[in-house]
Amino acid sequence: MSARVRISLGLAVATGAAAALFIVDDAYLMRIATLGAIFAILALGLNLTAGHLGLFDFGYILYFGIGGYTTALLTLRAGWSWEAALVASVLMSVAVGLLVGVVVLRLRGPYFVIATFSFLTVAYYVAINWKEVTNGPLGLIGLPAPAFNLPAIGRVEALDPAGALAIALTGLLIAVAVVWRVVESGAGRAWHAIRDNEDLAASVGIDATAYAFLALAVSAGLGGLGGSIYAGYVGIVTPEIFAFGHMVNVLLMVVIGGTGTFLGPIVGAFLVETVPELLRVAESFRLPIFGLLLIAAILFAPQGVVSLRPWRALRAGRPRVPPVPPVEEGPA
Amino acid sequence: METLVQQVLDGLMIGAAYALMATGLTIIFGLMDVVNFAHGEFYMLAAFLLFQLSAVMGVPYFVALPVAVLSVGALGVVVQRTLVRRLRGGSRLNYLYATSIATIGLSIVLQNGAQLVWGAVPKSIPQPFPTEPILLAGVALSPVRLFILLTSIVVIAVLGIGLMRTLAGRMVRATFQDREAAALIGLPVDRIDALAFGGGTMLAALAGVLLGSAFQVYPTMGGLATLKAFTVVILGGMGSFPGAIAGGFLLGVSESMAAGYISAGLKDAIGFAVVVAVLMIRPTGLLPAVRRLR
Repeated sequence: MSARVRISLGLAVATGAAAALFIVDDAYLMRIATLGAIFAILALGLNLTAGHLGLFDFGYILYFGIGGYTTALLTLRAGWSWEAALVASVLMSVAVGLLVGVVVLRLRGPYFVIATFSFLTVAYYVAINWKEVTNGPLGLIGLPAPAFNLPAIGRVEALDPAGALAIALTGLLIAVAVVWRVVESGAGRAWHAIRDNEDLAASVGIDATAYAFLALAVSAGLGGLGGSIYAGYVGIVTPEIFAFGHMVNVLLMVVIGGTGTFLGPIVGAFLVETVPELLRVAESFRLPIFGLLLIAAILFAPQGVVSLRPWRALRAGRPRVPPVPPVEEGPA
Repeated sequence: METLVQQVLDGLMIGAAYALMATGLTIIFGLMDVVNFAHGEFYMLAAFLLFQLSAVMGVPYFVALPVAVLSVGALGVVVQRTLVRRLRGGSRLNYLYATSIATIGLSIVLQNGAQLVWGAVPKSIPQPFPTEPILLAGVALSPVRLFILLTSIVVIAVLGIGLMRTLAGRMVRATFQDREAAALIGLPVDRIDALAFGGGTMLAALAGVLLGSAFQVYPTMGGLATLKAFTVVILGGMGSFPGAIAGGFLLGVSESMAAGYISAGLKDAIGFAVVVAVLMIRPTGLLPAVRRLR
């Protein structure tokens, strides 16, 4: 199956699943799907740098938190509407992303990983200690829930599980459109060239720094979008929005789904949100089993679950041929 | 003045443990390019094993301590043989993600496993040291802290001599510098990896039993420890032993100073701010390794 066929198929399945959710109308399922959609936006954003550009942004949740705090401060302290605060949150995250980029984009490999992570950690402690603005560990409470009247559809409210899911899925659609637009453009090809061989990319005239800034800006903007929707949905923003646990979850979504693929982060987001819920039957063994599943996933699907081709094993009468190893590149 | 000396000594004690952890991470990263997110969980596990042996089963402290450290080292060897070794192949970037996810998975298993076995309530390890502080030129030194500092310094010195003077040490350094060339002259790089992973986890385990004796032991204690160890490694220069040791003491002392003179709440953020500052001036850390990062 070609990439386009698979993506169309994926979108058809997703539309079907979303329609089924609205018809079944179960608050618990819709809550899981809402969080899945919000985190899918983040996974798409992280995948731009970690998957397409090849730089492991281990502080990506910084933009999620910046988006959340910007939305909380603007709606609570300045009386803005959530929609206006959302736009401002995206712009704020992009601005912070560009500033962070000035420091981190000079670094590569493990240095990049730790430097981005350091920014996240500093933000976490600033959020705890800058009590005048962030209200410290207690956080900002009681954000107004997003609600609007739409022509032909009626009133959409985040307090209603179906309304929240609709808002999150709209956000995800916007993120999918943005990612599709940039990855399938010259910028996407430039990122792949930089990821595969930065020196070679530079030698054919690709400005690695400029394209890296672009990737960081778009991915930061998506983080801000996710953070703003999340803040409107849960109605509270605390320093825990910068928590290491969120970072690990989003990273898992990208890698378990498939780094550098289009559908991988989305599939990964819904998997990572759903599997721990399914494991609730295992009670206190839930998290240890989840950890073992992660190890199994990386051992048996190192390229992510979207790279698995189960239908190949199902084809009858054909011997399974192992994939041809890629030819080693060497000096000619 | 006395408070200053006291702060520095406190910082040196914590810094010694950071240096042990960071040296362990450096060995594992240097040989296998693995960013080991489960490092802090080995540190936590060793502290719990010491608690189990000495507080629950009544084994004498100085017997239980080496047993706990060696058991965790053996677990490290098992992890390398069954998990880390299988992740090679594919691009460098994929290997970085695969080993990160695998060690994150391992850390979730170990942390929650410890919580199932020992519960979430912090435990104290009964210590054989007198609680009366030793007064030295007006500065109070608690015996347990002195023991931590001296043990760390001795272990780091023995490790340094071992790496420089013994055959096994030379083999490890050769593999560290150039893996392909080492394999080419017939060094058993695969077995050296296992030895190094075991040794690296033993250093984390030692830091765990030492700090566990002075503070409390709880299942989530490894999380922040892993992050601090990373900070130290980057601060000193990735893949550099002198850097890891210097970075450990530097971070310990600056945290202790920050807690004393700036704000106890911001103590844990200081290290990360220092890292950003250092990387802006010296992108390869304070004492970068001679080895080329592939």
